Amino acid sequence: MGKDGRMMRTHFNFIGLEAPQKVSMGKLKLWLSESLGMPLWLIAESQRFAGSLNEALALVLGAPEGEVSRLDIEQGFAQWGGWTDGERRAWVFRVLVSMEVEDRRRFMALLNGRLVTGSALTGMAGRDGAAASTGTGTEMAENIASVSVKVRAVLLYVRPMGRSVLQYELTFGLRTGEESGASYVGCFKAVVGTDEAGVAIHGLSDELSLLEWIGSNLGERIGPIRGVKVSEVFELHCDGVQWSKRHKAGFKAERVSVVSWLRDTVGVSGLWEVRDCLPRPQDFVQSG
Amino acid sequence: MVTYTELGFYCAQADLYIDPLRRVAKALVTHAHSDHARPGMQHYLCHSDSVGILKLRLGQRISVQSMGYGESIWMNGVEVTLFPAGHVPGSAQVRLSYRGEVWVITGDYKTVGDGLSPAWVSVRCHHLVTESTFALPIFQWRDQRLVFDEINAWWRGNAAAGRPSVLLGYSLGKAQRILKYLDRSVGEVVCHGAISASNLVLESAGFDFGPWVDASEGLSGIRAAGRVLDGSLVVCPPNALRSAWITPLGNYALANCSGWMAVSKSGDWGGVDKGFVMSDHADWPQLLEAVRASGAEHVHVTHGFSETLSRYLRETMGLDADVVEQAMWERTEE
Repeated sequence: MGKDGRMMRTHFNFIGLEAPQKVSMGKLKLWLSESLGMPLWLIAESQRFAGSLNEALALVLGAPEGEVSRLDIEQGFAQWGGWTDGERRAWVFRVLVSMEVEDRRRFMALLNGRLVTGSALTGMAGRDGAAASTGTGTEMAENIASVSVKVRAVLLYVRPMGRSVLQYELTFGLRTGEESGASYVGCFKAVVGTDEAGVAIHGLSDELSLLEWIGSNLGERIGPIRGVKVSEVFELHCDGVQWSKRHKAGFKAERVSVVSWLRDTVGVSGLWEVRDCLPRPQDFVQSG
Repeated sequence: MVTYTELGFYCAQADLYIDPLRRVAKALVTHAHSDHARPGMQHYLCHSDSVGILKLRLGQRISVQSMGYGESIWMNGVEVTLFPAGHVPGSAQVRLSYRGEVWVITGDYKTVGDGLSPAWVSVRCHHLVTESTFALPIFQWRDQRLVFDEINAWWRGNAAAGRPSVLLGYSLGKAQRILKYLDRSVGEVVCHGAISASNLVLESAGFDFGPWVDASEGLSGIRAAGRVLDGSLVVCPPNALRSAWITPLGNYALANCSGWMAVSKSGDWGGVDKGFVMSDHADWPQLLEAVRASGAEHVHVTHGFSETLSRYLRETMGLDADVVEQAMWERTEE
């Protein structure tokens, strides 16, 4: 593929890649600002218009220059631990510049530890091509329209289920706006509780105490739904996340697993952190 | 020599307004888009390729004088010259020279040629007035061949599925640029009446953008004449979607073609299936290129992200730059 790139690029295949260390968006912003010689205020203006730092950074890099292979990334990740901060910056910059906008966004989400690919998934059947993909390197087909993400979400509502057993369908929300004075949008649902034998069905180690906590923190009734005290943050692993016009968040998940009850009340992920992992509408032709 | 008044840019020595907002005696119009060429001027001055569109939009009876690129006229000692702006057919930058001081007012422009409008040229000056519609570094256009490959591939896919394609584009400039590069082997290209009217005027001025079908009389008329619309591509202005004009097409695929499509939040606009990033305005690198190439020490930024561009020119490029803003309600027609 020539530099003028008349051939349309296919999406970079990130299946099975895992960042050696979490790199925050703030760090990426500093690195790119230094590498591009672009003032931070100009990146901030760009972020304000684009609506997301991830997208702004992916766009300010301009048209892709150079080539990057999956092997380059595997090697970079392997060498990461021995590098100085400057070497990491230079490598990340070179990788990002070589990628298409869409791949840059996903690579940055991968570096943040938000986007989870292939092998990092637990028990994920390969419906979306992830675990089911075989083959090597860029030959593998990756379905980017449906992704897996790791988020910190806050419990918003519960819906009591069943009569003979204690089960709740939980609705978790993500943050819109800044951490202070944030409001939350319900995004993900999962069922917790016990079966007839009293065994935790979701498999959380502290599932029984979670049921207890819910029981003593129930709030207002909205139809079949009960509000709960909005304070508890959970780490979720969501698979099959894809755009949906029928959901308030703008996306839906096919499978949500509650990894842990963080016993923490801060650090809820932003709604945009999931959106960043999804293909941009203009890069993604919807079938119809 | 040039001041910014509530009517727009004004050269008192020549008693000449450039793209004025309201009625004046002498109005130099940089191009025929409605936010630059407004009705009611006593006399218009514009490039010869703009005359037809100006009359089409403002009435056949307007008083208009035309000039070619590189030609000068003298107005009370001021030399007035037009240079290509590369924005749309007939678009011009204005060079005003008086007693050794040179101003250039760019109008809307892009520095990269599109093969339709005469290509932008750099004009040296002391004072440059530049637009800034897309003055953020997130706006960096790709080679248009890439974009047209994408457009043609999208059309081909829809046609193969027996589904008509609708591409939104303003009736002057964007539409003809699209028409010029559509792959006619896929199917027929059909134009909304507003675009057809511009096409005819531009064709009579010598522009060529390939074969197209006039749908001024409605799409059902075309269908009745035995033509198959299913594999065709329809080019229409955005407001046509809100009219009954579009209904005979049935279940069509819809795309927009605009610089704003670079950011994903625009992908939701009007429920389009696909956004193609292509603009007739300068992107961030082109704006900086135009400023550098002008050699201007004083830069006046208008029409867009003017605060951002002028701050960058001051702080990073060490130029004397300020903002001259048009009224907030003036929107850019692409």
